[in-house]
Amino acid sequence: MTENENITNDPIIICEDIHKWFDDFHVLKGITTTFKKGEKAVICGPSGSGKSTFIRTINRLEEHQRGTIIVDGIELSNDLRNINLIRQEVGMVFQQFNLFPHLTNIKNITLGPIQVRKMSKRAAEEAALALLERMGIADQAYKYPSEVSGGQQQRVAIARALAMEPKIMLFDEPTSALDPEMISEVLDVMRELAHSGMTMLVVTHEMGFAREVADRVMFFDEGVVVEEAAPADFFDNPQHDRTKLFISQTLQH
Amino acid sequence: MDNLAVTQEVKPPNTKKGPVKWLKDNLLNTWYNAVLTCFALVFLFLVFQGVFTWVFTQAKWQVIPAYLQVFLTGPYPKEQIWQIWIVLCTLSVLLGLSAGIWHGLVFKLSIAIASIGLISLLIPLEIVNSIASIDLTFLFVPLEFVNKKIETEPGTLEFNLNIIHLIFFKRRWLLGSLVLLVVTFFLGRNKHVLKQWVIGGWILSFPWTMIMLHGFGENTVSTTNWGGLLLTLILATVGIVACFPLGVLLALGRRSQLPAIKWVSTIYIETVRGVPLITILFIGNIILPIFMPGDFQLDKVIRAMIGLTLFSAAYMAENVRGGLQAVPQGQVEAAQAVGLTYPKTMLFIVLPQALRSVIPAIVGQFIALFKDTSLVYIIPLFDLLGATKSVLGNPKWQGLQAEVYLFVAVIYFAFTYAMSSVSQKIEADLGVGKH
Amino acid sequence: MAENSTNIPFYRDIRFLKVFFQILFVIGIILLAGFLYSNMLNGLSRQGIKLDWAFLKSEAGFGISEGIDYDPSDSYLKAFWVGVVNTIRVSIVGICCATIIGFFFGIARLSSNWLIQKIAAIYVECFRNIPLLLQILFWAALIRSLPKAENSIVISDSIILNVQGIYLPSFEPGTGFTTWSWYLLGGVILAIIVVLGFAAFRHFGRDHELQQIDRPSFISHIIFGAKWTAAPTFLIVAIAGWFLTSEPPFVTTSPVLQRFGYVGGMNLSPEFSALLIGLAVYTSAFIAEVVRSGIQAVVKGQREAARAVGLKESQVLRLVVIPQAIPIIVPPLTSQFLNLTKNSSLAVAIGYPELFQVGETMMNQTGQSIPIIGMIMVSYLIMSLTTSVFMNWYNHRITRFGQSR
Repeated sequence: MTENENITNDPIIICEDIHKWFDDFHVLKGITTTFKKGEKAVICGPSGSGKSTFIRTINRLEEHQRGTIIVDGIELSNDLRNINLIRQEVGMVFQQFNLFPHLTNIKNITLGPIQVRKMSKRAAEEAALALLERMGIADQAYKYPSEVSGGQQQRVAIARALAMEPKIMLFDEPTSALDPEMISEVLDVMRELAHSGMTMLVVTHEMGFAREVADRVMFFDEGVVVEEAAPADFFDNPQHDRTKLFISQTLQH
Repeated sequence: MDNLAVTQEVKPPNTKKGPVKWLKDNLLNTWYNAVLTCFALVFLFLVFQGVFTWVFTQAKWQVIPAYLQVFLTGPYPKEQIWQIWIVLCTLSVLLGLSAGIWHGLVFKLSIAIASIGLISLLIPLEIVNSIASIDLTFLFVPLEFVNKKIETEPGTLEFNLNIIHLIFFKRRWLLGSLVLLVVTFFLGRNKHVLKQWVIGGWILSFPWTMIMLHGFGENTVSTTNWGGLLLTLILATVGIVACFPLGVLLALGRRSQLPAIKWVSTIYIETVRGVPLITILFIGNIILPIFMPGDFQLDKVIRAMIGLTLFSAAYMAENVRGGLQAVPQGQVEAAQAVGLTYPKTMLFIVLPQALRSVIPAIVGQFIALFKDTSLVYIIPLFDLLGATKSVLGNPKWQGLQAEVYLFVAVIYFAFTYAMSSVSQKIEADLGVGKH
Repeated sequence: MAENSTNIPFYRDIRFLKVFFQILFVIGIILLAGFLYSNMLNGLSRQGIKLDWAFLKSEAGFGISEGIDYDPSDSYLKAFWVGVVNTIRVSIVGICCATIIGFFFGIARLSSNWLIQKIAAIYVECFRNIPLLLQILFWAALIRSLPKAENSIVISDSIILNVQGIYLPSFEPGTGFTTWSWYLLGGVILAIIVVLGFAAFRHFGRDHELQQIDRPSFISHIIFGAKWTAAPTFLIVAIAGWFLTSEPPFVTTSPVLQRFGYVGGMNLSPEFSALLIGLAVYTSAFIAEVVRSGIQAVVKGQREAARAVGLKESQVLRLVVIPQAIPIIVPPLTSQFLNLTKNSSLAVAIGYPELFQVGETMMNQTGQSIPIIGMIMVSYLIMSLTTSVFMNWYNHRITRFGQSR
């Protein structure tokens, strides 16, 4: 475990008593937490525990029905302007990559900067190429997503999110859809990103990654945060039975 | 590498079958199949015998060349036919360039079109015509000149001269289009810089066609004089092109989260799909004029176009909706996460993917529409089918329904069959390259 | 500082915008409708027509060549109803014919016999690529060119073709029909008793322990019993009744040539025949494709699996392919039935007095084109809706009982 020197004391995401229902199903049962600027939080838990739904409420892919979310001083509400502002500040990486199959990799990346940030086409392309360089896939820029491997696609997706110069990055199980040999190349990129001081919320089952990179591990079950702690405490000294069970099951694999 | 080469050389066992084996496998594999084959052969023999006897000995085909122009262009004035030829030349140029740039399907398509053109260039219809000793006033070119000598001594030098005269003079427009097609093909070969220009050209070709056909000043041809195959093609094209924006809006509307918009779109789509086309054409023809402001009048062809557009928009909407449903929700989420607004998400992300996947369905709809335009016969307009009315109305040609209808059927069949094979090819092509 | 959710400006509030856009849209529609309506009133007054429904009660005054009992002195509403019935008549007969022909050619396209396969393919390609209207005009012209009654084409003494249409022998209830129908009623009652008894015996009389895991419901016993006990019972009673009835329950009347043509039997008018042949042939080409692709969708894989289990070819078709193909076939088949019904409106071109043709005559006579077009549209919509509701119900039923997935 490395103590992160980038972490500050300024809160960047404040969640207070967030509730969410899918019809009658109560997915989130009052989540209250604060993320600090530069913090890396890993969120884990069994499937259906609400962990994905939780990070999706932070950029309004899901609407929370009760409680307050404040991102970088902007409240996430029914205010259209606020939603658009927050979406520009929050980048997201999906499990299934969700690259746009009809656009080349570089066009995938430049679409947001050109259409939303109103950057010039040239500046956006230069920035995109620099990002792809950083991801180690500059040579794949003019291919279509279907022509590159899964790991490369996910790195393009990370570059697409970074191109908007977000303050916060959300990762929704970024390695779950990948073949085993490709997981590490994506984790390497995420590690590098973590060291650069980005605020990151990562939903993942990669416990090694959590132990190494996270400042905090949160364990979700049935819509509540059962336990949250620094990785060392979380893995070596879990407090709750459900956490213990989950850790023992996960580490068996 | 050596090993690879060796494995490649191993050939599959010879599975080629001789004709006898083929017969055994495909016609006589069981006793009942053998019986079926015999029945089928007898049936085919009877049908072919009947058809051949009729086609070659009884049918009076002279009616076709005599009215060829009516079938092709209807009452379009002979002196203005050059306007149609200009349009065809423009399309030849675009097609030739596209074939040069894109190869593949477009190339095959233009080969097919070129060969049809070549065949019609070489068929001496005048001979058929002069055998029937009918005054010849219909040809492709606005030229009254008829050389009666063709009938007397075919095969002589004079005949050959006449053929040359026929091709290079009377059919100079057709010849010109073909030459343009070939020349632009070679000009456009591998010139990828021209891509956007050619696409732009295709888009502009639509208004250009309308303007050219309509003409201006003293060359004006009112739409009421459009007819024959020309009108059929125009109605079908207008129907599919004009319905496109409306169809896309209706499809988006039907998938909207806003109930009012969703319900209005759904009701429109389902109502139009639930009633026959002829009612929509009647609405366009009889009811639309009532709804128009007092001094505003539309002519019959435009009203038919409006009817066809309103009709096919509902079907287009359903096709597009199918494409929209095929776009995964993750695409919308990714676009939102990047910060795109709803209109931009639709325009840049969802619609391009949705429309690509429904191209075969849209071609299918175009084929159906091409056949359905024949319903304007009832309004009545003089499209390809309507032309039969004016032909059969002539007492000179009474009782020739079979010949006339069969000829028209062959034209319809040739177009629809060609289009459906093209659409199957497109479908296959889309399946291979995904983006 | 964070903004409070209570003071969002309304023009940025999603909840407000959602309602606002809808209201805007509805207002737009209403304005358009209002504009058209005022234009319509102007247009109608220009043409001197008053829009009302009273014309429906007045005397139609035009004849209708065929259909249910009608007289020119009847009202317009009655005339319209005759048209509706004629549409339904030609549609139902057309659907039956098209389905039979279509299944025939669809299966023929899958034949292992190359020649049969190709003949079917040519049939399908020819008839679906030529406009239906052209086909109907062709058949109408063909029938009009048939010989006069004296020189009719007679096929096996019972089918007669001439310029007045097609004549077929008709089956009509004879003098013994009433007696026989009592036997039929008795058969139905007996069959119900038998099937209930059978189901009760199977349901309650069996060893319960054995069926604990997968015990069939009472309903499934009834369905099984209907096939194996009720149907035979009914058939036996019906056949016995047929022989026990002294007078013939049915009589066959063949058309007979008289001075003004054939009389008796069933006459299909030239217009009806042309329309029917056109609709049936055209739609059958589409149905053949539906059937072919439905069966092909199942055949791949499934068939080999079934063969691996050791079923015979005929069993594979009956037990594996058809039960799975039917749910695939039914939805597109339904839309073909609807297409046929809508396409029957092309009769207006050859003068068969169906819904649309009668409607057009009414429009020409009264000038009330708007209400009449409205009535025509509503009639077609009702027919479409009824058919799709019925077929949805049917599809639901077969997917429940026909498939065990």
